[in-house]
Formats: sequence, structure tokens, C-alpha cells
Amino acid sequence: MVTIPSPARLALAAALAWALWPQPASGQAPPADPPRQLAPLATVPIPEPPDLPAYVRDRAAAVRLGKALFWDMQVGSDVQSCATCHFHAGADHRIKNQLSPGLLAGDTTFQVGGPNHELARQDFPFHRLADPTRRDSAVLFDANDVAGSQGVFLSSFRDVGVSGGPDLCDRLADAVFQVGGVNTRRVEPRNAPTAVNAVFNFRNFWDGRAAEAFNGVDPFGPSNPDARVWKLQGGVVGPVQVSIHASSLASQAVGPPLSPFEMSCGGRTFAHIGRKLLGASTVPLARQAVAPTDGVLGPVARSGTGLTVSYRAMVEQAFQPEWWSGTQPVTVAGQAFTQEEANFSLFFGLAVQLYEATLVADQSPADRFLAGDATALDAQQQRGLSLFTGEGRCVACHGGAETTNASFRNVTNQPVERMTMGDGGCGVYDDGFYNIGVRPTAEDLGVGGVDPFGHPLSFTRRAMQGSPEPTGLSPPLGGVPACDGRAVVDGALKAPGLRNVLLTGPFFHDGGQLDLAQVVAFYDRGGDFADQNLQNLDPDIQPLGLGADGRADLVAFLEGLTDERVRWEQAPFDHPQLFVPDGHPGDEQHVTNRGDGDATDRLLEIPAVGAGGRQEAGIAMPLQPFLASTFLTGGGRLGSGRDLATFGLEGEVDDDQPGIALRYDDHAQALHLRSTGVTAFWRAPGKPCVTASGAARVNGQGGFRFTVIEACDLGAGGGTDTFAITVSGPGLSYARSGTLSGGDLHLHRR
Amino acid sequence: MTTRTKMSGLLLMAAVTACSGSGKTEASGGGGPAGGAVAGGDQATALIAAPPGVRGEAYGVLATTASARLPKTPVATLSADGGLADSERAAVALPGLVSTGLVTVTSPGGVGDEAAGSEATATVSQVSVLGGVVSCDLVVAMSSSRSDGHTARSSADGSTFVGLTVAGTAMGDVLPAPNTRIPVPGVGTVVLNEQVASGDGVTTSGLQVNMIHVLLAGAVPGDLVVGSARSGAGYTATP
Repeated sequence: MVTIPSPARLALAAALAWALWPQPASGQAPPADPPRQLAPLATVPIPEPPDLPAYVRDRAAAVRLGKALFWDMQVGSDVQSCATCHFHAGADHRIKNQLSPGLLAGDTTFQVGGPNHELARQDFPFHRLADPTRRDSAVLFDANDVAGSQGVFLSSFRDVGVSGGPDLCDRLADAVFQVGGVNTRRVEPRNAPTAVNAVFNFRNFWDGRAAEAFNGVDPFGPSNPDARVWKLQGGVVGPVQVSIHASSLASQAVGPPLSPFEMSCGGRTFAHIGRKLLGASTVPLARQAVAPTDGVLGPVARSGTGLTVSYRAMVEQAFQPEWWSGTQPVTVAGQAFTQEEANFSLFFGLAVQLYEATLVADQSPADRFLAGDATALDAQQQRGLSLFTGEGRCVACHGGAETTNASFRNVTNQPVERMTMGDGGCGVYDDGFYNIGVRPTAEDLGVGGVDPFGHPLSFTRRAMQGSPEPTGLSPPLGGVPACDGRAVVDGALKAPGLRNVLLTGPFFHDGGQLDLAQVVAFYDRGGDFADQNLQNLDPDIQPLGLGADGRADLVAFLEGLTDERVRWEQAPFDHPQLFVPDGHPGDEQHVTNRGDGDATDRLLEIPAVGAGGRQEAGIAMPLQPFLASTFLTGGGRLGSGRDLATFGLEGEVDDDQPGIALRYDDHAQALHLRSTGVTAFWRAPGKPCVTASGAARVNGQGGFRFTVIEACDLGAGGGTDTFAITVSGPGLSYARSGTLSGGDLHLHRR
Repeated sequence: MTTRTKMSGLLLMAAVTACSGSGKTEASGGGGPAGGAVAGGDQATALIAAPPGVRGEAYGVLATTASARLPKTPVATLSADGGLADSERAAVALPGLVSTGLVTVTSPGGVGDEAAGSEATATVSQVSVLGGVVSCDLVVAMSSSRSDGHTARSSADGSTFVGLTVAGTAMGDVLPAPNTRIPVPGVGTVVLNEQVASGDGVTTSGLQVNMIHVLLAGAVPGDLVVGSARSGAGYTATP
């Protein structure tokens, strides 16, 4: 739908609405809404623009275009794609050169480590206490640094690259992101949230600035009064204003490609991106392999790298002709472009949105349990679920099937709410956005901030300023004087959905928590800056008294939110090959100048994976948690009498790198195995079990493979722990499993 | 040269029944040598891993007599910070004293953020001691320990004999009670399933298991051990 609202009309409507609202009858805050109960995510309709056919004529083609754009390194000025920061369960998994100083707090100094620092487990959390169970214990270390995502070098845009190559940009000296005067890649001031299930968010970005209604141009929706796209009407191409609802993902998608931190040399426009990608010599994904079995791109995968179809062809197949078929040039930022180039932000936003709308992870064990399969979660996870919905208070913010109150369904119904605050007073806040005391409020205002046009990001503040947008409040704003003059939105950030949360660390908007254990400990102690943030603090942030067992139960439940298709990158979570900047060779004291004042890159390859997932692609390991360091040691005996087998095992995964040493002897079968190599070692989500595989010698002969199907530390060792193994090789197919009749397995954390 | 002596079945049963126990030991520390000297030259305290740390060792045969000496063969010794140690030997023979078939020894262990644990296993096949005074098809010595700083414990679960014969009496697949002592006239004493526990049961625990320990007392005194495993774990909980 194309609308051209009149600002004067809006102002009048706002004034009328305010005047007509009932006057407050009571000074009392209404009782808080009951928590929204968990449910299988599959019960939730996927939000979709009601007027999508006005723009998209072939949805499948648009999804294909969106997937190509999302993963294409040619979109960025210098090898960045959307996926560069969202390649691992929709989030970022890199550890080197991922630190940003507290830029949003005005700080340009680093505390955790300098530019090009390689994060390690001991760097976390960023707020360290003498007693992690007590928020009032001595602070051993505190940093406003952020574990974010590295993007581009500081530079200004000159022209697009040839044939999809890097853009032509002028280097600028960077006073912050540099080592010895050599520029390093700049790092975003907030942690990258996952793109998986992001379609269920009413607004996106941590601060919600990706508007629900896409204006076709930038993230800010109707807040940008000048946003226009170009439409062919009556043979004439002219500017029109659009407002495409249920499209926060499109609003989000068009932000990073022009960000001088994330993907772009400063000053580039979306029309430039269109010119670059729509060029006749540009091959989509030209430098990236695409699996022929890719669930979306497979049919157009070119041998080697790239696609067999051009971006121009994909755009024109996907979108209605009035958005690209005009022949008259249009002017953007003083330069002439074709209509198709000038509308590239519209195509990019909607196509990426439609692709991301396929990234729905709704097949976790927790989903199956909530759908009625009582065996899908074990006893510990069920205890964790009870804590999640009970004394842990998690569901108060992570409510509903989406596990976030920032969901499209919830916010559509009630954009703002009243609540009684931690200080006993009452206030109004944006539903789904909470100040939970991760950092001092002033360091990052979150949804309490303003957009580039000077408008509040917060619905609450907009309503208090007279915006006619619905609030969902009953009684309407002004009806509860005790609350309605107080906006409690500063330092509030979007509550993320929690599916696959095991895989998307580090956590919170500052990336300051290493793993789920640290996250749960944070909540259990009542946050880190609760006292300082009391004015805006969510009242549920207070010491919970879960104890060590309760915390472990809660973590086990959260791990039960993992969708195995995501963990194994099976369709729709399969993807093309990708090379991501992964810091710079050297360290925080020394990097190599590549010749132009910028540091030489270290690139990390993310291999292409087809619809069958990682194993089909020959990758033995599933996606791992951030800086995962799990190891298992132990040994034992299977069987009794003469039918005995004994084994000893040491296995680990440390920052995605597996290691294993296994000795296994079946004395009855005269099978004696010693591992000689490792291909995989990982821990099962929510279970104290590991899986491992590798090469082995059997009875002194090489050429065999073993798989420890599952080795479980279930408690006291013999009589409880379990072990299952298969061995295959020349003339041998062997399997054995059982409960240990002696020995002990120890699953350790580092 | 060790004198070969056969022990009557009656005498053996009398000796075995003089011992008590279920054949399984859960050691929570505080124990000490229960059956005289500990073979291998180790003191009980040596089993304890200083927190945080682990100990582990398994070996097949050890012999120390006036006329012959065989060091721990084969032996797997775990490092204090864990890992996996293992070894094997197709056969061990010390004429007149002991002969075996395949011997495998393994000792894994590790120290994590919340606990430490170690395990040791020795398996010895086709064992013949003193020309058949003690023989078995397979002996398994197994010891495991873990500590989380609040509780430390060790266990010999998994240890066993397969086809055990002592002084001509077939005992089958059996695990004698811990520290079962069998006097053998003219030879000395045979200790089966010898166990030595150590540690405080809170932060440290250790257990050594010697499945066959012959204390030679006759003309050629000495020690002979077949199938030995020891483990130890130490961990101090943080507040």
C-alpha cells in the first residue's frame, strides 16, 4: 500500500485523540498483566506484510534473491555480507577483533583488550564479582567494552567496485580502531543478535529502531519524512512514500549495508549497491561456492562458485514491474540512477525479509514438550521449565510461544504497558523492552534513545508527546496519573527470543556474558547494576535464590530450546560458502600493514552446506556454543563375566576444536582399539553426554573409524553412566553399548 | 627361585571365608593399608592428588624379589593435570614367577572448573603366578576417584577376576572381598583384591587396587603384583 500521510493531519488527529481520552479516575496502577505462557512456536503465524503482492509477484523468487543477497560478500564495500555477522545460528561466533570500546557511553578506551584482541573464556564476564552469587560483593573487574562484530575499515566511499569487487574508497586514519597507527576493522557497539526467528519480533535491533513499517529506504519507517521509493505510474517514474507493515526485518536489513561500521565505506548509498550488483558483469556470490543441494539456491548454483542467474534477473522475476521497469533516470543524492538501482533498498529489504522469514526454528525439544510429548525434556529440563515460568521469573519478559514479549503478536496487541517499578513507583514502558541492569543506564539508552530525525525510538515517549499511534493501554494514556507521566524506557533493550540460545553467545547487548551459566547467574543475583538503574529497572530483576542446582536446571532447559536443524545447518538453515574477516594476523601490539594503512586480514572460511546439513557436507561437528570448552574424561567397564569390554577416554572441544584420545578393549571379541585421529567431539544440548568420532587402529592395523555414539556422565559412575560405541573398517562392523559396570565418566566444564 | 606350592581347597575356602565384605569398596577417605605392606613402593598419601589435581596409574606386573626384578610392566601414568595415558604389552613373563598374555593399561583423568576425576584400569589375560598357584583367564583392576570440593570418593567398581583358580581350586568369575588374604605354605601370602584408600573424603580421595599381590616369604622373599590400578582426585571448591 502506498500512503502519503499529511503531517498536519497527523498532528490534528493526535490532539483530538488526547482530548477525547477519558480523564483519569484513579491514581492506582492497574495490576500487571499475567505472564504469557509458553507454547510451541509452530502455533504462531509468521508475520507477513498484508500488501505484499503490491510489491512481490513471485515469492519463491524473492526468497531466492534474499538468500543470495544475505550471504553475498559483494554487498559490502569490502567482503561483508549480512551473514558476516550472522553466520552461526544467525549470530556471530568470532573471537578475534570483536571488541568495541563503550562508544555509546562516549568512551573510546578499551578495558578487556585492545583492537585485535582475541577473546578468551577468562575475559568473561565483563563485570566480575568476588562472589558471583551476590551482586553486592566486591567488583573485581568492570568494563564497558562490548563484544560486538567487526565490520569495515574507516574510509569514505568513492565509487562502486568493478564486477562486484570491493568498492573504491579512500582510507581514513582511525583514532580508535588501530594498532600502532595501522587501522583495524571497526567493531559494532552492540552484540549481533540472531537472525533466526527474528521475523517474530515486532521491531528489530536491540533498541527497536528497525521500524515495524518499512519505508522502503532505511530502518526508521514513518519517522523519516523524506523516505521515498520510485514507482512507474502512467508511464512516469516518480517518488512515492510507502509504509509496508509487518516488515521490521526489511527495515532492519537496509541498515547495515550502509553503516560505516558494518558493511560500507562512508557515504555510499543503496543506489550504489544496486548499481554494483545489478551490473551485467556481476555474478551473484561470485567468489563463494554454493552447494548444488542448497535448499533455495541449489537449482541456480554454478559449478565452482556463484549463481547462474543475475541479480537483475532475480529482481525482475521477484518484484512487480512498476518498481523496476521504468526507463527514465532518477536522481539520488545528486547522482543519476536507473529506477531499478534507485529502488534497490526496497528490493533488498523485502527480499532479505522474505528469506529471513523462512529461518523459523520451531522444532526444539522444548517445542515438542510443549506440544504434548512428555519425553522430549528430561527431568532436569522440566525442573528448569518450572523455574523459567515460576520463581525464575523468566517468562515475565520471555513470554509466549516466541519467548519474547517483543513479539509481533504481543506488541501489536499492546505496544506499551504500565508496570510497578523496582522502586515501588509506577511507570509506562515499551512492551518487550526492559532495563535489566546489565550496564548502567547512561551507557546505552536503548529504546530510550532517539532516531536520526530526533524522534524517540520509544512508543511510550512518542505517546507521551502526543503521537496518535495506538498504545493498547486501558485505560488510555493519562488514565492513571500515578504512572502516566513516567516513561521507564531508558536503558531498556529488546528481550530476545530464546530458541537456539545455546549457540548464540556471547550474551546480552554488550556481549559481556560468556555462556548460559553466566547469564543465569546474572539473573539469580539480581543483575549487576540494579541499584544504579533503579529508576528504569524491571521489577523482576532481584535476587532469585535459585541456588546452584536451580541454575543448572534452568540452563538445561534453555539448552532444550535448541533446534537440531539449526545446530546441523539443515534446510532452511543451509547456506553458501562464506569468508569472514576474523581479526588480523598479529596481536594487540602488532599487525601487518597491507600497504595502504589498513591491517592485513585474516579470513575464516565458513564452508557451504546444502539442505542435508553439515554431515552431508562432510562436516562432522554441529555448531558449537561460543568459546565452548567441554571435556570428558573417564573410563570403565561394560558387560560381565567373560563378556567384558573396558575403555579409557579423554575428549574435549575447545573453541570449536575437537580432541580425543580413546582406548577401547573388548576382551571377549579380542578387539583392541586406539584412536589415531579425531573428527568430532561435542556435547549434546541439555544432556550430560558427549559424542565423538575419529580414526583408529584396531589390533595394530589402521584404516578403522570409531564413533562414540554417546558417553554420558549421569552421576555416580558405575551403574549409572553409559557408553555406546561403533567401530567400522576393513572386515569389521562392531557395536556395543550399555551402562557401566564399573568405572566413572566425568563431564567437566572449563 | 620360588617354591611351587599347591594349596588345598579346604584351606583356601577357610581362608576366604575368614574375610568379609561384599567385594565392592566405596572409599570416602580416611582409610589406610588394610592388608599389610602396599605393593609398588607407594605410601598411601601418594595416592592423594593435591587439589586441584588428579593421579592415575595402572600397570600389569610388578615383581621385586631377591633374585629377580621387573618394574611396572606395562605402565600408564596420568599427569597431574589429566589426559589419557595408556600402554599395552602382548605378554609378560618372568620365569618361575609370573607369565601373562596381553596386558592393557589405561588411565584417563581431568580437572575442570567444578570437579576433578581420574580413573585407572589394568587388564591382564592368561595369568599364571608361581606356576599356577594363582591363575586366571583375565583380571581387571579398576579404580576411579572424583572430587568436587564438597565430596570426594573413590571406587573399585569394575574390578574382577575371570576364571580364577587359586591353589588348584577353581573359583570362576569372582571378585573376592577387599583384602582377602590367603596363606600359602612355603610361599607366603596371597592377597586378592587388595585395596588401599586415602584422602579426607571432602577435597581428596584416592584408591589403589592390586588384584593379585603375593607377599613372598620363603627362601626368596619379595613382592609380586599382577593387575594394579590407582586413582586419586583433589579439588577445592571456590566460595
